[in-house]
Amino acid sequence: MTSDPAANALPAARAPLREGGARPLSVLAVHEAHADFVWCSLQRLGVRRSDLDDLFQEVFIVVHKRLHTFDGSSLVTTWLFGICLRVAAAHRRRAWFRRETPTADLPDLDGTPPSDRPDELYAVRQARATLERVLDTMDLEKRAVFVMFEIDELSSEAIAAILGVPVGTVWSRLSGARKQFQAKLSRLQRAEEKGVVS
Amino acid sequence: MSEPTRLRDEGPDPLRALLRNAPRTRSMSVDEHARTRARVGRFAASLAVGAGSLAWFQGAAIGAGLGLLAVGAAEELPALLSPPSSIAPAAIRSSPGGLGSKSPLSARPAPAVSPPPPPAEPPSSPASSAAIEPPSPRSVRPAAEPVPKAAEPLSETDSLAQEAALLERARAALGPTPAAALELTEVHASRFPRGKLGMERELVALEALRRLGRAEEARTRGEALLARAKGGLYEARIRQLVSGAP
Repeated sequence: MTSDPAANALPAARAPLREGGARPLSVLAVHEAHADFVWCSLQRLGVRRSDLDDLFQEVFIVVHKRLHTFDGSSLVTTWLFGICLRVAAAHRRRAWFRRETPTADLPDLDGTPPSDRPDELYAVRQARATLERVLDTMDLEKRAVFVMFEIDELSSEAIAAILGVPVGTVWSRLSGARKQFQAKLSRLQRAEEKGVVS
Repeated sequence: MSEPTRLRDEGPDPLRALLRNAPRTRSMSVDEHARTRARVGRFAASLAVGAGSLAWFQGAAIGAGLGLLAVGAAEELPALLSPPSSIAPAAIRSSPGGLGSKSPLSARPAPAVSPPPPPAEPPSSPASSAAIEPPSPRSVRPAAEPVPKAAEPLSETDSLAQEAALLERARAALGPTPAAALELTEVHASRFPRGKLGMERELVALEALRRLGRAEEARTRGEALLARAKGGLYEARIRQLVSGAP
């Protein structure tokens, strides 16, 4: 195992944004290469499906604005993840995010094996709702590490490459994220038992 | 040290159940990629003609609820666009975003590659910054350079991106060689007679005429354009150009 995050990144992410130091790439080029990364990162940072398009666009506006400042000293994906983090954080701070839970955002059953047992489907939906509630209360960075490792099953090396940190740091952050997740889950379950949370 | 075990595999029972039911992060579909690329291309194109915030409102209207983004776009003016035919060098084709999930985009063919132009220089004056960013002379292709025609019909997304790129080149030429910029707008008009960025093209053309000292022509053309733009997002900017204001 290597502790060099860059060693685990795909060549695309290591490529400087200035080819030969002379030609800056455009926002469209960044989109072409990294749209899916931004799309996935925003979800990992808790952006709901109904907000994904708008937040995605917001990220690329920032990319367009700041592209000239990117000097290739970090991976493109690390730089993009930082932008996603700030955009998602601003989104979370907006009061409506905390107040509103659109029906369309209730956990769906994507990826669930078909079942003719409504009770099973209900249990899955309930589990996803609980999971979302807990994740929504976590610090964004912890949430992202937790989701990448525990749900998306990315390797520590891959996460390190995305975050631009050593693998050991990923493990440390994962440990902190797990503690926070379990603490938030316990708090939610206690609240539900008391009927505080519907 | 070894990789930590995952809670879904070896965690406490309640956690395992919770995490095993969790949906994985979903990769972009091909349609989503095309749609977002078109939107990025559109706002980039609008910035290319110095009306970023206005055109972005159009995008916002389409996308719904993007007022906040429009505020951000109003601050957007770096000229970093390159022709879409130059995007996506193979070296940056993919990213680790889709790790852990299969992306439907992975099988998409890479667009053709050609060298992008260098960035434009900062605006020469605050007053004109909203409309013009004088580019480096190196960023301007000779006006006589033929624009290759597509061998096959372009998809709507590709077509829009090419329109945007061509107009960006025109915009970049405004500062050093407005005549070249004007010619590029004519290339755009002939190549995309029913293009989606016709209004943006006309704005560049008006600006080019104004810079060439062809004020009367700019006024005539601008007034004709006003008839189409009345009540629209570009009306104020067109009036500004027609009046000769910077």
